[in-house]
Amino acid sequence: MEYLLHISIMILLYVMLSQSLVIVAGYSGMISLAHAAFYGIGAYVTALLSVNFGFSFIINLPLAIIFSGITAIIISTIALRTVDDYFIIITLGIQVVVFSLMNNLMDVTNGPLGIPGIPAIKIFGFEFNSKISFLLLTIVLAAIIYFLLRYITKSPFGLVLKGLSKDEIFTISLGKNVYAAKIISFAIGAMLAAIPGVLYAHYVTYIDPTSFTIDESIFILSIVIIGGMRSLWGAAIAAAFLVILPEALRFLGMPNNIAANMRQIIYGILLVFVMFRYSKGFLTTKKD
Amino acid sequence: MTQLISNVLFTSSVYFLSSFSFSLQYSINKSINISHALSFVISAYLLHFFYVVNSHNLFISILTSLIIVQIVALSTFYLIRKFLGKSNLIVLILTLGIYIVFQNFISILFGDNLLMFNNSVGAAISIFGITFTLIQLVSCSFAFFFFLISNLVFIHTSFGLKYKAVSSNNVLSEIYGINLHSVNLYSYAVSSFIGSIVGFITAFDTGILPTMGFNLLLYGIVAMIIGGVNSSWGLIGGSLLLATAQHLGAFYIDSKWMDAIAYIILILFLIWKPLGFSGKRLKKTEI
Repeated sequence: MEYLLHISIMILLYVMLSQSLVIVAGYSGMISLAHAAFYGIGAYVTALLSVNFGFSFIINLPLAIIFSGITAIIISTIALRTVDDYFIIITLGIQVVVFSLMNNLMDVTNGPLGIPGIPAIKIFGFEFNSKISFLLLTIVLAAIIYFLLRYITKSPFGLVLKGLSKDEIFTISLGKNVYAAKIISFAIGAMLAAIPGVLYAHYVTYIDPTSFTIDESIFILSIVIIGGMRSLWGAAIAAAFLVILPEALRFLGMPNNIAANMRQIIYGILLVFVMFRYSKGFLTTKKD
Repeated sequence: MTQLISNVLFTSSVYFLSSFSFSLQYSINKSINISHALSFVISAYLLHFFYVVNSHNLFISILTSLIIVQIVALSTFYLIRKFLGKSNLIVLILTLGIYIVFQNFISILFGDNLLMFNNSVGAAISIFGITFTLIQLVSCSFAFFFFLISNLVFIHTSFGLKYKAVSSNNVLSEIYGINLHSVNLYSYAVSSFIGSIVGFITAFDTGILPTMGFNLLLYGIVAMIIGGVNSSWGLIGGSLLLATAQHLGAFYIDSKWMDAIAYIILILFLIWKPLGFSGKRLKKTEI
């Protein structure tokens, strides 16, 4: 039972991460390889504040979201000087720089040794130290993110994002501020990605930079691509499938180290298959 | 300081070869082929398998590795060719998928640990007071050779002129009767051949890891962006700047910041010199 709860929590964390990337990659057409950096920023902000200053989750969560948002605005003003492939490369560079900061700023982040002893989440005296209570909290936050993203994508702002990803010049000619719309959507994605980061840090009680590498960014992007670039439900189903996959392989008797590689091989094959067969993803509707 | 100079020259030569091999494909299609990293990593692992594990002759091992890498690279080319020049994003994701599959197969077959070569090519040689290892000299020589050859080929041969025409305007080139498929095919073959050499050099110098190809490719791409596409002088400049900044950073700060320094330079270039050395535009359109 505990094992199933753990898998469910991990699925929900990746659902939140992938859905937060849907607005950036799917709706705004900005393929970002820096998403794990914002996930990591959320985790590190809450870990540092709770371990060093004893701040509670209620304070850490908005601070992590704000910090991640400000970082995203600064980063996107630089990254958006480029488009397409160059944008992907520059976000990859940003991911590497953020990882290096997490890994090398020994005095602040404790480097590769990571930050141990992150306390459990406590809200108004209630401690979320059991897996079932943590799962319920994760469900609530995942639902908030889903409905928020659904609202944004169906709003006039969402239409601007759809428009700019289809034809940027045409959208500019309609008088829309494409540059600002891109920055806002990038910041929204980053702020929402900080939430699973905060939850993850409190859930595992120990974080180190290896959880927030470029491989993690590629994995999150793969979920979005496999799920369908503009499908929130598609991203959720793809996240569930890709998180369960290595566990299923382990049940088949595959050793842990090979199961990890097999998971990557299967999602590599899925990426190739998706690009050949369904260029918009498995789970995208015709409307999308 | 002499050690620093030899390291900078060696690293620059590796980055130049990596960026040159990548730019041969990129110039024509303007698509980022991530699976090009497989040329670096597969060649290195095959060389290790034939030369170290099975103790075959070095020349035979290199030749066999080159042939197998050509087969893999050209198979990839045939797999992705219908998307080349049409959808850059599909090519990028497709080749990323191919790269992930092969890299993980290599991890399963050979493990994730660093594999070293019996470093008989690591003997020190002194030139003008600067000490190089043999493999460093080999790398610098290859870089110099390909730099010269590229300039000669692009100016004096029919293929070079066709290549320049296609990279400048592939639609017009096709109208004038240039066979795009054959130009693409040859450039992929040459590109993966040079990529294999990068793999061999890195294998002898620092050993091999399944992830080495991705890092080498990224440094090549960064050097290309800094230096500018379609310019071997730009590639040399980009590679030298990147390697110098990284080694100076390692010398004066710490070697653990080398990755970050490379990307900070890239970001700084995109802020203050967004067109690269060569002045080629990075943005597709502007109003």
